[in-house]
Amino acid sequence: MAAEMLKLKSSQGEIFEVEPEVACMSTLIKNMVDDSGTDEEIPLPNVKTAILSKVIDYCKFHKDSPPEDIQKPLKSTNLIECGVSHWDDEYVNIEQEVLFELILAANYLDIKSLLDLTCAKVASMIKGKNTEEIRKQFNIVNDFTPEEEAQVREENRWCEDA
Amino acid sequence: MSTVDYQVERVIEAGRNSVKVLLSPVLPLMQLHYTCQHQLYFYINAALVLVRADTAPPEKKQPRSPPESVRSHAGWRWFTAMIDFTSSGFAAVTADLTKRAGTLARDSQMADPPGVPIDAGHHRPKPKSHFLRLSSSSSHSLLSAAFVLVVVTLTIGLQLTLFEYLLSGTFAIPISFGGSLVRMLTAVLWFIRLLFFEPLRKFYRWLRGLCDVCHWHTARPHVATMPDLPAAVLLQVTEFLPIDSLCVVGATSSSMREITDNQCWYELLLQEVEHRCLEGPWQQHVRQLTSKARLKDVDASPEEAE
Repeated sequence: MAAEMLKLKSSQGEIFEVEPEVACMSTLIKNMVDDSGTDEEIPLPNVKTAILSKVIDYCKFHKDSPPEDIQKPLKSTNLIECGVSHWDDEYVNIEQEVLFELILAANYLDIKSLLDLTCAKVASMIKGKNTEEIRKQFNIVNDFTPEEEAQVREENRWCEDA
Repeated sequence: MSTVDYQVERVIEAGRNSVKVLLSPVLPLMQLHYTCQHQLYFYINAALVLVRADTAPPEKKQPRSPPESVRSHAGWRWFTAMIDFTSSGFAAVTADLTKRAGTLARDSQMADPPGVPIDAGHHRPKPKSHFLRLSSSSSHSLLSAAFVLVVVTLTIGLQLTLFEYLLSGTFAIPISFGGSLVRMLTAVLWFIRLLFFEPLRKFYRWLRGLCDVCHWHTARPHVATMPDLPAAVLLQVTEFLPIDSLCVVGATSSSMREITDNQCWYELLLQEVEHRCLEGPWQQHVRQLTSKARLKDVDASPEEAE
């Protein structure tokens, strides 16, 4: 039984033993398993232990129940109203820093549904905010010249009017 | 030296002698006061060095070694040893608890809500428990601040107690109007003296440092920034945004504008028109936007956007 488990090694050296069906929700891992088999540890140098653990939580939960597609564009800042399950909504209700690491991990591991979920969460954090609030929330530095900024503001005036 | 100068010197000398005679009973007290103040000065100085070196944000952290005068002080070793001992112990307990929380999260059932992040890296995720939230660096800072507070409070308390005791005990000043007046005047003088002396300024600077520490802990900027994400991921994020939010994101910085400009505006506009079913002036804006040069890889004419 234990031989059937896949060993995933995080960037910090911790090894997680997971079922192949769970691990193979990641296209990257699936390809690696197809190439090298299941005997060896699968190194994931870009994923920290904490994040890998969360990714495994997600894959375990959705192994038998794939998530539904999320509306594009979002119609609400509440993800549940956009077709996200309560569990998924709770899953991404985390600190921004962890959320960003989760996005990077989902992108690296190539787990489309998780990437969609996390990106939708970021989008929900953006939706409804003004420029300054978004800058503050995501620590974006305003590098526009005053002229450029005035031009952008003029172009975007319709957003405020609509 | 002129005669006038000589006379002035004499008067000053006589004044000094008179003051010495007058103050002679109080001199031991002043000496003690000075000693206490010196101790207080030392502790505040040491605290300043520790707190500043320990609580600076990671990117600005510059290990500072205390001045030689501080390091040579016998109390310094005791002070740093206490801080090291308590913080290392605290960090060990925190790490242990974090590990246990991780094990519990892994062992929990699949249907459970997402667990607490397990491990701790440089960007340590903060679990919900307040105790677990304390990373070793922040616990170190808090401990330093708490320890400094205790030491300063004790030192000031001891100083005031001794002051009180000496005033009412050694000199046996009766509790009368005169005694009260002397006490009051002494306290006022002591306070005025503090105002003009370095320790108070140091204390003030230390308080400001403490405020900075509190500010840094509560209002430090998010480490993760939007532009840190790869462009492909950002593009995926923008797919979930309605066009007005997309425009707002594009207005935050030039790099974000580049990302949003790469989004297929024409399709987005179609989606938006369909979604909002808006009419009138808004559709004019749609026409304006679709006719802009930012339209990329779109073969359809702007009129089709309607």
